[in-house]
Amino acid sequence: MYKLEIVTPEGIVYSDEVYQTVVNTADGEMGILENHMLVLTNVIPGKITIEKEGQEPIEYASTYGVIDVVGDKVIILAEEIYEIDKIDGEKETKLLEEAEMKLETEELSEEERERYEKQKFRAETLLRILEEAKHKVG
Amino acid sequence: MAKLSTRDIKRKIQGIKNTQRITKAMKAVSAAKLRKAQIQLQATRPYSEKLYELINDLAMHVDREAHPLLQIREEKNIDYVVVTADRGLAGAFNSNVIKRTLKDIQQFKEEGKNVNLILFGRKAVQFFKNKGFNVVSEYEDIYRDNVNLTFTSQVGAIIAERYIEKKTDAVYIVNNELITTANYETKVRKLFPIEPEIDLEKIDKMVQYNIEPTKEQVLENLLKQYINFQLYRAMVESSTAEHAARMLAMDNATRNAGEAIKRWTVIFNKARQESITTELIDIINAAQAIQ
Repeated sequence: MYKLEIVTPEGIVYSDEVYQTVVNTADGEMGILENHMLVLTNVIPGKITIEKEGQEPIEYASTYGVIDVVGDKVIILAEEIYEIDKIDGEKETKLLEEAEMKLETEELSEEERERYEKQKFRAETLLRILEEAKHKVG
Repeated sequence: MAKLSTRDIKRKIQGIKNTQRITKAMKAVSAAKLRKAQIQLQATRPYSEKLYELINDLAMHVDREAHPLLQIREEKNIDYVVVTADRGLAGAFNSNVIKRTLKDIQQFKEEGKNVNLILFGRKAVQFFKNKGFNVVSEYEDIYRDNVNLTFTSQVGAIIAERYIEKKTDAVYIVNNELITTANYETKVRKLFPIEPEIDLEKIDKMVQYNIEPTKEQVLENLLKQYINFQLYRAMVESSTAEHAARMLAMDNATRNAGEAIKRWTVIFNKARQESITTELIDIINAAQAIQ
């Protein structure tokens, strides 16, 4: 068991002792158990799964951020964290459409392309997580 | 003043009373929104502390010159982010920001610098649009839902991009900030170039760290989060101050309306008495004439 904190500019989303945390990083999913090596890396949009012994795992959806593993404490610093059923499908669809349109139709600089790629990935990921959750319930 | 009938005066008093009812309601609404905004502002603290700590730690370990977001260049082109409210009726809230912006633009121009504007809030857009200023982008109607990171991270990405592409050499942001509930101040902050505080004691701590994929990439991600967050905070600060300013303005308006009602009630009483007196004189005259 170790202490996990999930922090966004809107406040502390989660703060408790946990058994395992799984986050999505640029190198794929990373599971963190107790005594994980010290690491600092980028978090990309995806699911955050928190496991506690003898309990159903808790799931969140995150956008871009970083995860800082320091000894007995893990901090996830993300821009936005959503409870899965609070994802705004309409907003994400709008973001996705805007990004796709820009990427297809306009001549973009390298930086602009990267920005819209990121926006597209974020919207796609959140929509996918929302869709999966709906299937599970249905 | 043209002579008003008692009925006209009564109507006028009723009108002022209606206005007072509206200003009173607006004051109550602003007070509630102010509390909410203050909570939102407080909630940013744990995030900002951790973010600054990480940026400072990492910035010490990378070559500033090599990192596009940390480069310091001669300030020739300046981006100026103007944060106002979408709505008025808040005293000098919006005009304070606009005045400060005009003053700074003037000064930058005298120094031979080129200024581009990024406008947040309808009041800024209304003022600066189509007046010969260079406007990079403009955003209206941004406070309707709660201020959120989805919006600021889109704008933040544009600003970071302009800095990397050397379209701008320095970025400033101007917004109102609440000091006490009764007063706010217009403040200008520098967003870029970022100047991390170097803390030599911490350098050793980072050596045992495993930073993936590279320090530079994590730092870049953090710096982008930093600018998105700064915009977010400026907006939250501004909306907190806006609600306080509107509360104050509406409080004054309610009080002024109360005074106006008192004044007009005195006028009304005088007019009524006058008409009663004239009527009495008429009756007495008539009675005397009959005798």
